[in-house]
Amino acid sequence: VIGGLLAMGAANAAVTLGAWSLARRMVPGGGLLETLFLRLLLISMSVLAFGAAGLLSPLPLGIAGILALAFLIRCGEHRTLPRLDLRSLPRGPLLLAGALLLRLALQAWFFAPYTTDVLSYHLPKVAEWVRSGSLFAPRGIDDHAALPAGFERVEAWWTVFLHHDVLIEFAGIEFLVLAALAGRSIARSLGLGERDSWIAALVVALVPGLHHQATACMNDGAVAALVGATAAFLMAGRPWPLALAAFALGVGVKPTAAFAAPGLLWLAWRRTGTSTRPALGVLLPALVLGAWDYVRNAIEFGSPLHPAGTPGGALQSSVSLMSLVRNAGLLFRDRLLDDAAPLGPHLDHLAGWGAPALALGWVGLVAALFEDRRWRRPAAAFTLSAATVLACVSGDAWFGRFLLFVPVLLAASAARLASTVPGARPLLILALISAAAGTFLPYDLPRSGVEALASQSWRERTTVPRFGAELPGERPVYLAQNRGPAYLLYRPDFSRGLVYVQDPRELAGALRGADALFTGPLSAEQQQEVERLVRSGVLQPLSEKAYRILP
Amino acid sequence: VTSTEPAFRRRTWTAAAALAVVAWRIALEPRSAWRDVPALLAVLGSVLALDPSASRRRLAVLSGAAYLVGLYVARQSPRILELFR
Repeated sequence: VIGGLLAMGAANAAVTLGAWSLARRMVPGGGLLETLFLRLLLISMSVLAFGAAGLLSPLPLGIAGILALAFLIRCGEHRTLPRLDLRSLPRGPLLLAGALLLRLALQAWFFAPYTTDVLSYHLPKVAEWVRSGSLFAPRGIDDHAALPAGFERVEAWWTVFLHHDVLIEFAGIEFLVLAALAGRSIARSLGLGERDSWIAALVVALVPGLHHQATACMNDGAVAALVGATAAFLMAGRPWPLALAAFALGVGVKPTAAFAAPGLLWLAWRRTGTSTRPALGVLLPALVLGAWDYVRNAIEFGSPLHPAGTPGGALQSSVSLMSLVRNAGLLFRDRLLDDAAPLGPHLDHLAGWGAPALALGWVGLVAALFEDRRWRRPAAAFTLSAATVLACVSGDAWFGRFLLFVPVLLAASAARLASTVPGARPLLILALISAAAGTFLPYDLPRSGVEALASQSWRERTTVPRFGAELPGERPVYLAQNRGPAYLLYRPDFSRGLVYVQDPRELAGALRGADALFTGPLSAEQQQEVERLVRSGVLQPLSEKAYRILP
Repeated sequence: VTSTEPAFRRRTWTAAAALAVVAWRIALEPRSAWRDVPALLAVLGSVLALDPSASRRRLAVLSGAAYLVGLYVARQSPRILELFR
């Protein structure tokens, strides 16, 4: 652990100083948003490069971090770091931000991955990468496992050094901070002062959908952060390659970022940015990161958008006016008020924007549109992006997750309303209290669930009991048609490997050399094969899903 | 401002469009129009489009925000409290 911590410290210091070094060359005064975005870009690049070379492990990353840090210090980059003058920042928002960051750190420490999608197809990839040190490891059997993994690359960064997932939520928290800084930058671009723009950042950080996504290892919050950062860069007149890099990184996290492109193009239209030359250097790596999984899918499956468009698949692969009409109707009628279901990262039948962004944000936006012409283009652009996203996704219970970039603008209008209309500030405070209370616990990890996690030591903290995934043995086989909490079987320290089996005819062979079997959702044929092996004395049932392999 | 001036015409059309949105939303779901966010925003838009005085504008904006905050908090609070039990 000590060696991992040292490597993690060196590598994080290197990417942060490197990001600052790049940011100050692109933007006068560097900029928090630009530095954090470039840090995430450098992290993603590092994981991709080391993972592609089969060197994704603490020692190579730590050595590279030390060398890069030594180089940057030798170049004197550390002397250019700005002095942090807390007195120059508005005290109220600063205190709230500090409390929020502390709570996020505690949530990251005491939460363990708990959502079904994450356990089924996001994190098994991370576990395999960390175990093998290579990005070319198996992805598991979930048909969504081939979806882009830009967010998982940042999660791998936070797990590879300790060979443990205790800090894995830090990836989502970094993107939540990015979204908040994007909200602050947009507010500044629209004429808000220092204090009000920090309030906008707080409103973004307390958007329930974004907040719960951040601590649940889900990637829609990261997409929203990168779409918001793209808009913020465009509105602030930053170099266009920087904005394009943010967009590319977003597409590399999830295709839903690409669905928001029309509105972003509108924002980019006839914008004059600062010098593009320093920013061109980060564009190529960002394009590689954005395209990586699509190219792999094109080679492996013949379609860059796989599994979208596969027969029987749930993912829509076309633009549809019918989808837009249906989804907009659902959003307006059922989801905006977040009263159809409790709040959580999946946003079942919810928008997840929260009281500050919804109530004060929308009302503030309507007022701003009448009072200040600067708001009209961003409002129209965000509306267009929301409309194109709605036209590209199926009308399931969860499409609200793909619109989480909208509150990044609404946060700015909420802050404007609170500062320009006497009497609105107490309303904003009440709304923020409501949002803060609503982001303590997600519905699928209520107080009892957190207490159960907190009672475990950090080394063994896991949601295994919640999913009935207790399993003896060191060499288990995982059998499923699709889905299931496969990630939990790796253990938090990735000490156990999995053999994935989908074809029931291959099960008996796979069980030789294994010592346990865990089953996810099974097809009829898989179920019959398991029952046959139980009858023939090969498998001994331990629970509904777990079996011991008898010698 | 006279009825032939562009500003008057623009405001009138904006208010009419906003009221049309209100009518459309109420026609769609009459029983839940009281909690229909687009309808509420359209009402606010129609009021602001008529270019009221600063105090009436403030009253309209504050009322709209207070109504939505109250609606959201009242419907969400029981669910949040439930999670802490």
